[in-house]
Amino acid sequence: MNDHELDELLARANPYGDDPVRRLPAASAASDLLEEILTTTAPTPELRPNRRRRVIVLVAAAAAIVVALTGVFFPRGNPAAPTSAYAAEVRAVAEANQRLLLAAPDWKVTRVDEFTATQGEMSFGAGAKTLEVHWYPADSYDTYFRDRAHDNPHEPITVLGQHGTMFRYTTTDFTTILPAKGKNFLEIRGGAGDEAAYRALIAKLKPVGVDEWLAAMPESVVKPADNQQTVNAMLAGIPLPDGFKKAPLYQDSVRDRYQVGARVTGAVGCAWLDQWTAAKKSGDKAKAAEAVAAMKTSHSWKILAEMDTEGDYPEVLWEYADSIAKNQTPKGYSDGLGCE
Amino acid sequence: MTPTPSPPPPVALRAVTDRELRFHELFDSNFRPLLGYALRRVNSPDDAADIVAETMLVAWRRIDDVPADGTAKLYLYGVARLVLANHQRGRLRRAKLAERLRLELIEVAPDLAGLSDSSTAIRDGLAQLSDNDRELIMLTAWDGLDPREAAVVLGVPARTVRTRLHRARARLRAALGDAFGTDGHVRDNKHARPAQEER
Repeated sequence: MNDHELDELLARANPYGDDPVRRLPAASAASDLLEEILTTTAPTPELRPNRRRRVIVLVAAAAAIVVALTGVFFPRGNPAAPTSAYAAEVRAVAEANQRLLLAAPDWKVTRVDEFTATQGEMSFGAGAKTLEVHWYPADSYDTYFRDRAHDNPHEPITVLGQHGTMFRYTTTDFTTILPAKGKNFLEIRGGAGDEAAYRALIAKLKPVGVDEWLAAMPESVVKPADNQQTVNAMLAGIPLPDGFKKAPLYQDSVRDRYQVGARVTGAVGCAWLDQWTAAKKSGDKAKAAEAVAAMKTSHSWKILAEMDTEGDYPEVLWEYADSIAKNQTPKGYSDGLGCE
Repeated sequence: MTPTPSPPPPVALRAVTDRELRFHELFDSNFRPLLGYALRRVNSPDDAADIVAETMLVAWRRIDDVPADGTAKLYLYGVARLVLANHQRGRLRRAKLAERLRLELIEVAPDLAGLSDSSTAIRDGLAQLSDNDRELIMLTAWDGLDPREAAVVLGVPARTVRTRLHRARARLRAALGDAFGTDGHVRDNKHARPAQEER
């Protein structure tokens, strides 16, 4: 099948072409909608950014936290600093959080994202039912409260011994905001059935210790203890520049494989692109060619192929690889890949 | 001397602000393209009505963020894509706003049962692609965007999108696999195989 044939088949499979849409009898409904939008007090729908943005922000945020925590807990040059400072740092982040699990059979942690002291989220699931626990910076409590309270009925509720507020989005979609505790506050949103089911479910949330929490993570989440092994497996077969340090990649974290993959391949990509940039400046043709050849292999890095089905990070890295192969400056790679 | 009449109460007259005028224009030019975008991506016109309503509500509330450089439609598609993601997570509200539109659209559900074999095979093939691949193909093949415009909707660099589109189409071909003969005609008794097999 050639390109033209594929285009024709696609066009024929289009359930609504432009003409049928133009002919839809929706003119008066459209004016109604316009008027209603201008006058409604319904809250603005929450939109989640796409995954690529999230990962890049995450990489940058994680770097900032490491720097901040290193400063606080392990000042540079402190002879008493433990050799494995990263584990302690991540534990410190974990300890700043209100780690919760659901004491309910069939409910499992299905996803964890953005694990920082002040922001993160995890999803629990049982079949089609879901419960999400988010934590946000304590100082954004008022903003979130106002947003949720706008046009949604709400009432006091006690969860985890705290007096919070439950908001009804619909008859099957509820969210509860608890007052800030330490650096963050919790929001617990669920589509687990009716209100009674939601209330019964959130009553089963329990705070747990770091170890218990990590042990409950799904397989796709890289646990701190497995991190070094996971990173090494991802790096296998990937050419590394002279002096590339793997140790910073072993930093303990709670992330899914996509995010660990972004961190690992990003570090390698940044190192090669740095080498290419420096080599072009100094006129070192051999070093520039070495970087080009190494980055060309990125098209066959296994972890990127795995990540490619989920998000856009691999595409971004490949674009930079292709740029230097064409002797073009990989503009903005530092931001694009989250180089540290 | 006649006393000066008191002004009408402020609520009686509502000035149409520049922002409102701008939104009117945005709405009028983009309502149908957006409705088409939504109808192509969901199974029921009800859902399409909600997606249009929520997207337009976001656009109104964030009218100052809507680009004025002629790419407003792409901005709206980008918002609609996120609204659709909410919908897929079961988060789409049955917006009161969309009630009338829902009623009018109820009559226009496409007859999917009447689709030709080749169209059914294409839809099956699309369903096997990753969300990103599928969206890119739909944006270019169904919504009529060029790759540069699709890149704006997806929030990725234009140069990235061309490579991706090429690969997405290759994957679609592979997913269609044996469903089509070499002449591009559908075979009767074969179904598409999973796209993953080719990776």
